[in-house]
Amino acid sequence: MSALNQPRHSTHREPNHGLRMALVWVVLSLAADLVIWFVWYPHLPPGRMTDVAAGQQFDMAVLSLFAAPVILFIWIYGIYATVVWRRRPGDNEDGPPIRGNKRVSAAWIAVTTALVLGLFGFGTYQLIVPNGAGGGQGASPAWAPSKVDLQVQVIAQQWVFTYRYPQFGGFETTQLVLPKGEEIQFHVTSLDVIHSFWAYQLGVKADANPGVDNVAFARPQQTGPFVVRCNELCGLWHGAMFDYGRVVSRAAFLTWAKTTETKLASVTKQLPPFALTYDPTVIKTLGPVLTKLGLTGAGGGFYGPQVPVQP
Amino acid sequence: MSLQARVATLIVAFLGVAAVVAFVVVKYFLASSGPPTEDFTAHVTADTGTAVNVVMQEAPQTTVTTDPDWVTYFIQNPRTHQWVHTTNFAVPAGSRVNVTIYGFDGCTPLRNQLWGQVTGTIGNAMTVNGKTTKVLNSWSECSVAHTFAIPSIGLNIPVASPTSFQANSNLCSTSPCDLDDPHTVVKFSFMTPRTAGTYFWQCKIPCGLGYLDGNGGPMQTIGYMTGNMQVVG
Amino acid sequence: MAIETEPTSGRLPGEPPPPAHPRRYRPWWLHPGMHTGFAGAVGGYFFGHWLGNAIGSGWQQVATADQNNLAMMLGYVFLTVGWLAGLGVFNDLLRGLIGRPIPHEEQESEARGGLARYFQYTLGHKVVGIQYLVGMIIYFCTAGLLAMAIRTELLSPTYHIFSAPTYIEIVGEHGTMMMMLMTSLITGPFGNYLVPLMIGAKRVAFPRIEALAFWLTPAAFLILLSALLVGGFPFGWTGYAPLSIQATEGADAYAFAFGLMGISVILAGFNLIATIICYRAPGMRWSRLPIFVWAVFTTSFLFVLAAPVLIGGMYMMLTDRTVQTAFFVDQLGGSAYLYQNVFWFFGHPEVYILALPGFGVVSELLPVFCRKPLFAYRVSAAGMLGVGLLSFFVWQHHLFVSGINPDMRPVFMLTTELISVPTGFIFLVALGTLWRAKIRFEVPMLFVFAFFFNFLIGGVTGVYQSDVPADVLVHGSFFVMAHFHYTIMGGLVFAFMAAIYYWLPKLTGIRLNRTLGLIQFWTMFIAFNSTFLPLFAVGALGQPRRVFEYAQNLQTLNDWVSISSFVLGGSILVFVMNFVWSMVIVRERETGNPWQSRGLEWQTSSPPPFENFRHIPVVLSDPYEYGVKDAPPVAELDPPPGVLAATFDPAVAARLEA
Repeated sequence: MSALNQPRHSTHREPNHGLRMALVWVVLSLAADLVIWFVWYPHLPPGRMTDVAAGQQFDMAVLSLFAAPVILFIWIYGIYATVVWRRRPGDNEDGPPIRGNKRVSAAWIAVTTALVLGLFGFGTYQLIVPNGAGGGQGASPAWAPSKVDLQVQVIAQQWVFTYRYPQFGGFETTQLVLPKGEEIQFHVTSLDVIHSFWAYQLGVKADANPGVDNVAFARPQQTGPFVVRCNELCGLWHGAMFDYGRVVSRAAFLTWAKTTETKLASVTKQLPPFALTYDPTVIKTLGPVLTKLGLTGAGGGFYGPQVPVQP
Repeated sequence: MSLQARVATLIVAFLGVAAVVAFVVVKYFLASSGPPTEDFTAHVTADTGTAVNVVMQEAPQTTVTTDPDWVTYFIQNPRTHQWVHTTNFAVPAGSRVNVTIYGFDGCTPLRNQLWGQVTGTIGNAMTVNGKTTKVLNSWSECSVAHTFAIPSIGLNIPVASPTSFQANSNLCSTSPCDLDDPHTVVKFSFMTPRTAGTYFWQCKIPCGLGYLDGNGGPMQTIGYMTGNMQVVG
Repeated sequence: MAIETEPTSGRLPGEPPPPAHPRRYRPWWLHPGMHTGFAGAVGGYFFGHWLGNAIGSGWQQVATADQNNLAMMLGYVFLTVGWLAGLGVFNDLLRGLIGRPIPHEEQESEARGGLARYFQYTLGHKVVGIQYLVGMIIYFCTAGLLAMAIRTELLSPTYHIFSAPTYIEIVGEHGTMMMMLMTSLITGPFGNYLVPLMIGAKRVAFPRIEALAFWLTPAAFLILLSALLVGGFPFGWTGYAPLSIQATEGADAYAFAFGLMGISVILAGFNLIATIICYRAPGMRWSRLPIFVWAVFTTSFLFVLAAPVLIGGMYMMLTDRTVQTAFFVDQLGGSAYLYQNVFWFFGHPEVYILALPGFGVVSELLPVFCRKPLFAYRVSAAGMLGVGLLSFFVWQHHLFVSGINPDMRPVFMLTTELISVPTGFIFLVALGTLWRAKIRFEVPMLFVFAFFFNFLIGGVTGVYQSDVPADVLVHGSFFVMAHFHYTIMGGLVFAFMAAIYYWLPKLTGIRLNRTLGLIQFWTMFIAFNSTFLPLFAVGALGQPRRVFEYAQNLQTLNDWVSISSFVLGGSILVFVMNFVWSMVIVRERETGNPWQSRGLEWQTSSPPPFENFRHIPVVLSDPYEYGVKDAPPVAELDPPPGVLAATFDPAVAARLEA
């Protein structure tokens, strides 16, 4: 910072506060950034189990690289001010009447704007290149991979996740098993209220909205278990709505899928055909006793006496 | 006001606020203020090989409470054989639990037909009125009233309902129901996990009538269609 | 009835009050006040509930669900009407309607003094300010106790002190109470009390609206608390549909209380905008306005523009719940996204409503304790306005992973990143003011430093979340929770503490104990950071918000946080004790200008007289003329006769001279 006008009554030369602070800042920022990049970055959440998770880890590291100098700048300035510019006992004078400095203000505005615009550019690039960075993109994803190997539908309901594999006969299971090395397209939907599918180590987070197909992409790079939690408050047992999934080798996945398809064949016959969204309030195949009792679907008769009440 | 009067008023006010807070916490907040836990662990400890018998019923009305139109479960007290309006029960760890559920409520379609399949029991099956059953279709048949599911141990039981139109139109209207009313008898067994803890259980049928998606009201109120299985080590 | 040619009910600024209405002094229990308000509220609730049952008990949905939401809602509506009627809010309105003269009791009640007027519908802005102060402290402490309960439950991931439904209702109550009521934490007490003093006015533009805005807050608070009696609400403070449509009766209390508080802040904002625009003293140009007034001004615009959207959203939720509309029900043609967008369109300006007054307070206090003018005053004011304006353009950053149109995400990433630029101006101004200052580390200044420390961390972590890939990781987790606690509690609440230590001598003539203040500050600052800093890690490591079961390996961190939060609660207790002790027991007088501030509010006595100033002052400069040799005082309090008259319309000036 440039030296500012000094009050006329001072006789000593004002030390260059700005230079002192700048030197300390450069040294500490460099040290902090080196620690962040080489020590901290490899261990940052959420790990590198998928390409999108690795991308999120990279983003966190880069943001930290910029955050550390900003934070250090303010801290160094604050500590310096506390030490150097505190009121000395017996000094009841006011400070110099500095009302502003156009160059300082302009520099500040320019630097902060450039910084955030740079981060915006970085963030947009990091969003587009990894096919949406693992976040839910809605029914028409803007950034999709050129080829998708496996489709998995995540059906969230109160208070359990189930998964359907359309390429294997549409069987539905409570276990999420994924193959390593394949591009996976998640279709996340809900049967009742808003939930959110958060596969932590996979780096995938997509809200489950009723009647909406929310698409997210990920390509697992490592095998291992991962945690799936519901990330949107969905009622009483939201906190208990979690389970575990596994990423296994491609061969093991195919074995599991074929075996489960056979094992669940009888119940798969009862399920509605695979669709991107489901409306359980309208069931076309209701049996005669049910329709005689006045039902049209499951949990649909919410409104008014003209709509059958049970349930 | 004089100094002593002000100090005295302050102390009284502070104690009053503390008393109100304590009252609210004890009466409304603590877990002990909910429905009671039926204890099935007496005389049976973990891993002894002895089985525990739990008897429950689901009823279409709860005339013993201020919400008579809510559906509910009752659990039978193991010693007195009285029906208690609760859904919390305690069982020993690593033991076999034999469950009998009397299904007094009528049929309703599931929102997700996957829950028509019996999972997590010994033999992956249950008996309905003596007949072994592995899967029920709640859409094409009038066959499921409620479910008893403990998701964290993979247990899912679709509790069968009376299947005829006539039975479904003459369901028991006071609670707890007795064996004169139309009902089914569902039996199954499962092994409790070795680790102690609290495992929640829920119904998957949308039986919260009058609530959106059928999942409100009794579905989310402990003591009615959801509860806690406490596994005691 | 004869028409009066000189109606006594209208008064112009600066005009002396008309002679007091000859009426016998009534004891407090005969004068409308809180006691009659409670009676009216109870009566109104029973009437409304009965009406709802009369209309809706035959409905099939009501019969099968065993709950009548219409009865609850009408009960709350009539409760509020009864509460206000019992307080006497409508009395003057009705008197005016039937042509009876309206009594002006303010001056006599002020002269009488006493505590009764603080429990009544009193029209003086200083009384309303003190009412807000006490009310806000009560609301804050209640919500804080609920937070202690949350942290107690999170001590163990497997052993549960509260049952699952109790835990989720505590979480919802804490969040809603804080987000709903703390909007007025600084604008309520300090905005209403100080803005007229700072701009040289004798009163606010709409005293009745101002007092009404306050009296809606206890109603909103108690209605929200009453949700606990009916089982609470299971959807947190955000109230996402369709869960909020599915919920039992507590949700009606939530929606109504939130909507009622929305009405309160619209009224408060309306009054403050009119006061600041129209009631500035001569010479109080926009470029001389204290920066705190700029912050209150911007916040008031946010109140007036954002809260109606909230009320709309809550109204739609209530109609969905009571009369079976389907705004938010997907299978009947509505959309859950509609609620999310309506809510967050309000919700984002809401958090700036919470942050901006804090900016104003610390920017106002810095020059006093640095003995230097505020650096880059215009940049600071522009920053406030910029934050206010941009806050309406960022709301979809709460919805990045919800399945919104994916092309929107870079747009909102850009606007969210950009809003950090005007927010950063506060730091530019602070750093500039600290440059070569003579810093006095009094208790208020310590809180100002803490504000900047906390808000820095809060603001930087906000930039993390504006980056969409990083948001995919941290959305909905404790990282977000730590971020907003740093900005709101670390910002607003610390600024509130600074404001109260600074301005309490002005408001009441009593100073808070310095030693207890230091103890409170250090405990609060250290405990606050110890509580919320680890939560960034907890969230990034995978713990979502609002859950009562979490991964075993996070238990150590959670325990550390919980213990720290108990200490933090203890520090708030120290504050309350200091406040009560100093105000009620010790009453150490401080009637001068203990901080040697140049602000116009400090040029009056402490507490200020009935009409603040004997004459409307003529303002000569902004309150930041520190370091200037022989600077005149900020305003001429006894202006020569012609000066004042020259600024008014000749007819008004003639009346003033008379």
